[in-house]
Amino acid sequence: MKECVIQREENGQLDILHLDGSLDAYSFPRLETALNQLRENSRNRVVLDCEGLDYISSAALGALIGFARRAREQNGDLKLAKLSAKIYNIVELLGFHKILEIHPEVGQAVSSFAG
Amino acid sequence: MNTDAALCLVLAVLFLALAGMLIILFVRNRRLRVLRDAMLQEKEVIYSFVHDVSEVFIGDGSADMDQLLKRVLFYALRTAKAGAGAIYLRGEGNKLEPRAITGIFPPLSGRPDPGIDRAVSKSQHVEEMVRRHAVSLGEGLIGTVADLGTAELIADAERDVRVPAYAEDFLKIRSLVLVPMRFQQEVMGVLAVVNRVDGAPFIQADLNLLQALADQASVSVHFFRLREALDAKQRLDRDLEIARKIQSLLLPKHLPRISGFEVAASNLPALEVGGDYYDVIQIDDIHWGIAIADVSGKGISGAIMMAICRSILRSTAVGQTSPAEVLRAVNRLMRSDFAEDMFVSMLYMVLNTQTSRLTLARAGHERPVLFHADAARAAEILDSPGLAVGLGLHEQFDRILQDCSVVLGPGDVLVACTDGITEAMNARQEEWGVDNFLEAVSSSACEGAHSVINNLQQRVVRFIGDAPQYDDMTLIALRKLP
Amino acid sequence: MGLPSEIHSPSGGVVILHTPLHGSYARIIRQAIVDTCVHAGMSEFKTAQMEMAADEASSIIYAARAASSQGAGGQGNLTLRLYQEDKQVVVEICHGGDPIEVGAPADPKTWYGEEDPAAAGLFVIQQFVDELSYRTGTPLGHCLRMIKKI
Repeated sequence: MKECVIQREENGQLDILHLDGSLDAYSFPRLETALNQLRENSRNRVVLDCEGLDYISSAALGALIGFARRAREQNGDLKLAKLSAKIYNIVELLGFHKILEIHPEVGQAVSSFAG
Repeated sequence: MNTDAALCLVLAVLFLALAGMLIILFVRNRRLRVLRDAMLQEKEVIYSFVHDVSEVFIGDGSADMDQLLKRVLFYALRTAKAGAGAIYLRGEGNKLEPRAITGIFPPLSGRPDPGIDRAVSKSQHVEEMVRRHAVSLGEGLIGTVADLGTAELIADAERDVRVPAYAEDFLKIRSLVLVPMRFQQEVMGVLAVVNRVDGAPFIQADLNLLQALADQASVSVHFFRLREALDAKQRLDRDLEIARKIQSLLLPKHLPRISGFEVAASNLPALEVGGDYYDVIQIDDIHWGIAIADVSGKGISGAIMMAICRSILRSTAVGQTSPAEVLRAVNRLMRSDFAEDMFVSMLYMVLNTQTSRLTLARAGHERPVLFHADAARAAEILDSPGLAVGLGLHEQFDRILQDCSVVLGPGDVLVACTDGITEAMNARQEEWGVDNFLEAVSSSACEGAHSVINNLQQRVVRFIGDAPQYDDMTLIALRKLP
Repeated sequence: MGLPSEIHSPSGGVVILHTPLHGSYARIIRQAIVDTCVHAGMSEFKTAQMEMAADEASSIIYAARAASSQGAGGQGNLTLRLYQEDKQVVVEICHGGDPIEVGAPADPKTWYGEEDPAAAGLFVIQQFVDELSYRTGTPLGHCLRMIKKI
């Protein structure tokens, strides 16, 4: 279980952040900084590629919801893709799947951004 | 026939029948006794095994790994009634290292050693041979069991081609059992036993017992390793803590006021605290020394070298207005303090506040840049020769290092940094670079030394984003007031 | 002759870990708990729930004790006790210093973890474990105990 490594991939108007590792209270701030930077640069369309994510804390999920909300106000969004079954199970049990948009593949999340 | 004879016959038959019954009962009794003994023996093995297994499991990891494995091996040999055995654990480079050996355990792979005939103590020689050889995955029986994760029972080893045949009698392998030690999907090692002490071959029941013992031991080993990782991280964190404390004691808390000039500095420590530092020293009534340095070692040793360097510089700086002379003295005095691969890059400048002349000597450090208040004049990168301190080439150091000087005009700014700044990397592995550095300084040069430092710091931090930094970033700026 | 079942799935061993009171150690705590749960035969989903519950518990403790610890090498320790008992896994996280004021869990209809992390964390723990208790003043310190059936 290592700390989360974030790799940014620009895709036109959109940014894909590839995550690898775990996002707990200690390692989440780095993702937070990256997301804040994107927001400051008015890049409000973000897809998180969670294929390499082996753990995410509830606080991190809550913060992602916050980001998604703020992005939606700017006609953007923050969507999750490729969540592992066990993490999706947790997200579902917490009811977060009703608030955050989750796609099985990164490509689907990207195309779901209209316009 | 007369009645007497008939009676005798009947008695004889009865007698024979009785004798026959007694014999049958006797034989049956004996067979039952043998069976009972065998069952008792098995029960005893099971009971002692259960006892052995619970002995093996250590709750809070007080013993060290090798002790634990030796204990596991002891119980393994007892359980399987084996004469010798070994436990291999996966270690460096994915090779299996023998961590416990008991009895005469013949090497199961590797080249035969002719030296054995000459050895004074053959058993010791064999043990040394086994100990020295780390088995690769897939190599021989041990390597195969580790690779595939399946146990092996070889009842008739002398006829199996996979088992090495030794000429020496004491090395002959008659039967052996190898079981993988695994925790969940991961095979962490192999437990192997050879030659039952009673000469009988090993049987499936022996393999089952050994596997159960190995499974239990694997849990212990796994958590042991987790604990080892925990300890290693704690040691590292503690070292960093100490190094940071040392560094914070060495950096000046307040920079002194130099009349007619302003000085500002900043230090952004990296993840693994490096050995950057800066200092401002009063040399005499009109001269001030400004130093910036980068020690090659990290952590505590880097911090200690920094402390030594700072003390020596401070003591040699007083009354000496040639920076090259000071650095030569520092290099000489620190001669014995440097470990093989350690060195310090240093830039030392002496400012004459009356003439505004800045003399500097550069011992393998980043070139400082002079920005002129007159925007028409381009920024000057001040180049001067010099090797880093601590490389051991004293004669060359002395010869190559030269003073060079420049006069500061009103509003001119001189900025020096460590390579952590120009080589700062972002998540895309791009370096911030000298051009960004120059651009950042020139855009704020007219606002004063503090603005320059703040501006530089902000820009580089923004550039880095969330990428981790492995090098301290240190800046110092000197401006002649306009 | 078949082996008694106690040998096939041995229980009774307690894993004890001491970690400094710092968020960077949370992943080691999670690793130990995941290993214990998987070894005990817990399903992947249940293991993930226990993992999150334990992580939330440590976060609550770290946050509450943050004032008294200095960096990752500082004072203060967490003692972790993990064991399998019958058909359940027990996780005990013990700390020193003052006991923590454990408030009420967040309201499931409105919480998202941002405003009050401790309340949110408590909600998560309650959702994911079968039994939760907090005992102060034990020999190991103040202990948060979480039990989940396998």
